[in-house]
Amino acid sequence: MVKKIDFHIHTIATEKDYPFSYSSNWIKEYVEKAELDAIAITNHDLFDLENFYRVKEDLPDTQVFPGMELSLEEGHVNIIFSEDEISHLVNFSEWIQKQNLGTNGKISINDYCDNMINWENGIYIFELGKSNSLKVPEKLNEVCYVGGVSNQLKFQIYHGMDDGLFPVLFSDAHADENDSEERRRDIDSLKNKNTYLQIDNCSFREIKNSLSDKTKIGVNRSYLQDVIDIQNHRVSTGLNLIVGKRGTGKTNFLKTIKKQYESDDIYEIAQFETAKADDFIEKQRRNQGQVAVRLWNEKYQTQFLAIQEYLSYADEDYGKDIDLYLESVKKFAKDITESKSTSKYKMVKESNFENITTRNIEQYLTNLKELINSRDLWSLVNDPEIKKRVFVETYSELREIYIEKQTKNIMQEKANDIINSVKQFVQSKTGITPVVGCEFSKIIQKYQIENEIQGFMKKIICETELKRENIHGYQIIVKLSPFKSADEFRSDIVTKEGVLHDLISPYKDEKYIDFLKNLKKKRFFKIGQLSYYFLHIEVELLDSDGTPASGGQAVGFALMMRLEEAKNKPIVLVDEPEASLDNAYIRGELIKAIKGLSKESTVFVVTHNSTLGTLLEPDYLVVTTKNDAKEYSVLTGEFSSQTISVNSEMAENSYEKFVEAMEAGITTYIKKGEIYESLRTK
Amino acid sequence: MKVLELNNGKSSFLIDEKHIAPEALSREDLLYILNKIYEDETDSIEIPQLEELEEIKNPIEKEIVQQIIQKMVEFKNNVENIRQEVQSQFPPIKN
Repeated sequence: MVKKIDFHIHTIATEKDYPFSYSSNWIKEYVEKAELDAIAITNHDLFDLENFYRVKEDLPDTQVFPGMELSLEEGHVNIIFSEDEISHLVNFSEWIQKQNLGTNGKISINDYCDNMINWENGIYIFELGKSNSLKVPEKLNEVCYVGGVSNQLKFQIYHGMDDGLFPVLFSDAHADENDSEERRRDIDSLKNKNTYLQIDNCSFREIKNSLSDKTKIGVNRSYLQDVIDIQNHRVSTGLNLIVGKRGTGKTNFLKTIKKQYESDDIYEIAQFETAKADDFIEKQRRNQGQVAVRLWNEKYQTQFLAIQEYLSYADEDYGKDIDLYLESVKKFAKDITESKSTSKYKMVKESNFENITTRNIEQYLTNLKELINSRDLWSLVNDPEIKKRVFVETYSELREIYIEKQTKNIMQEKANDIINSVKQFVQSKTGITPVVGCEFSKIIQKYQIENEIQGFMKKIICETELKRENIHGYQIIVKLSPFKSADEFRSDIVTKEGVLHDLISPYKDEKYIDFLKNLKKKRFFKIGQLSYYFLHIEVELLDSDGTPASGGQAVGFALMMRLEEAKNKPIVLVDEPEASLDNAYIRGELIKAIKGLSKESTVFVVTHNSTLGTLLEPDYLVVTTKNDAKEYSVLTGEFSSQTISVNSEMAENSYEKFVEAMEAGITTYIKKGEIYESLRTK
Repeated sequence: MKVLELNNGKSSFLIDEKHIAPEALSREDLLYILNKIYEDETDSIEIPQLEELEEIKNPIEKEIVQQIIQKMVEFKNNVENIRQEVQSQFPPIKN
């Protein structure tokens, strides 16, 4: 659950303030508009019991904590206590009043600790980012302390830092609608200067505990985890840890979750399923390989399409056409020289026009048209009309060129028809055989395409690393390599057809045109799979040292991949994921992955492993129990609050039940500690 | 580079510095010349004008040469189109 708190509000003007008067209306309006669940009253070096109770009376539905803005020699610190300590706070306030600190007076940390009974129980908020900010005095090192900031930006800066105090945001407001400084009373602006905590209740203890975990503190509700109910048991929308002895109903609790949600919304990594790691890894290996090869295919899509097209006319024997042409030229020359009558028909000597290829222009026109007509594209850019105009002009110009070439082609075709009819006419009258048609352009184009294919295949048929990706301490490497043997080819393609002589031999001799022509004749050949016949795909799974992952490591990897896959589902159930994993891996990788997953999905983890259970630091703890009367119960609670309860009633400390579940009892836990210690000291 | 040499009323096609008589021109010879024309991006290949062929004395030889040269000119006019199309199908591979 998420609660909103203002840790610093002034309700009484002291010598350190300019004058202002407490307003019940202002505090009520502020708490209502800011939707605050709790506030702390922190006046300068003063705790006024009467005023505190007045505020409490004004805010019957809000938790109000007693406190003070204390002027220590090191700087200002807000001290906040539970109401149980109120008498000590009153006494301390009386003492400090007697010190006559005036406007600039300060007290030492020792004086504070000597005069504030139970000072160790407070929450200390040191002001950050001000000239009077202070370093935490050594004496307070063991207490709960955080840093107070005055705006969200500073909060985010401190929140993002790896070291330093955890930040909280407070308003430093004056509870007076007529305060002379607008920034102290402007509710619309002050309501953005509060802190959100991921807690179930605004008890002092829960607030104090939650401040020890940075992930439970925020200035925006959406970055913290909220709660949902599973059959009246409150759990987190983030990470839930389910613990309990065997036979206490953990699996049953998972079933309850499954009943409550659609199966499509749930991704389950079931107990013992890690044993199926080999199958999963094999599937992943195939998927990874296919994805990488698909990208490689896309890279060379143009060339592969050209090869596909080439294969449609690869068997055409244009050499024969040339022979026929040359033969007919020679015969024609002889005939025409001997004949006297044909000399007047000049056209009979004319050769046919060559067809002009325009296919590439057609392709460019299609592509341009697609861009011009794309609504999505033009909605993305500024001044679309101006930019589109350039494309339209290019299209128009290219269209003109295309029309010109096509017109010429049509004219030439017509001319060729006429020439051919004349030749036929002359042939019928004179017996002279005309020169047969032969398109040099088509022949040379094919020849040059074959040249290009040969060059292209030579370049791509080599060792190529398509992908090297680090995933949770493992490396996935996808490589392409030339086929080493006919067996390897057959195994990859899954065929029993013989391939050694007609495919692998020309392939190894780099005679790729022969290879392609023979490939086309194979029964297994599918044109859409063309590129898969060119290279062997190898997918390697290596550990962090670069050596092939062992069976146990592969289990870890399979689990990581499943956790990745689970990110697409709103609810993820992970039942005892620790099988076959060592504690170092659990600590270094698994916990990180589960926590990462819980940012995207609601996760429930069942475990008996103490390393996983204790280091996971979930948002919510779920403990299943069974008493002697064989009555089952489920207790849940915000992990940082250190309390668990059944249906939010009768909260109890989570320590004992948690240790019981994780360590087979407190005795075992202590015994383990003693054994470790004895090993250390021996 | 010349595709045809005319000398004292006689002609011969030039194939890799060899002189080939028109009536002896083979499929490979013709392909050689056509591919040279295709690969000649600097326009250095010289194809004779049809008028120049008038000096060939042997009428059969002249007719053969005229027919082939006519086709070569026609092919040369189309080479740029073919080149563009081949290159669009096989763009250079970037490593």
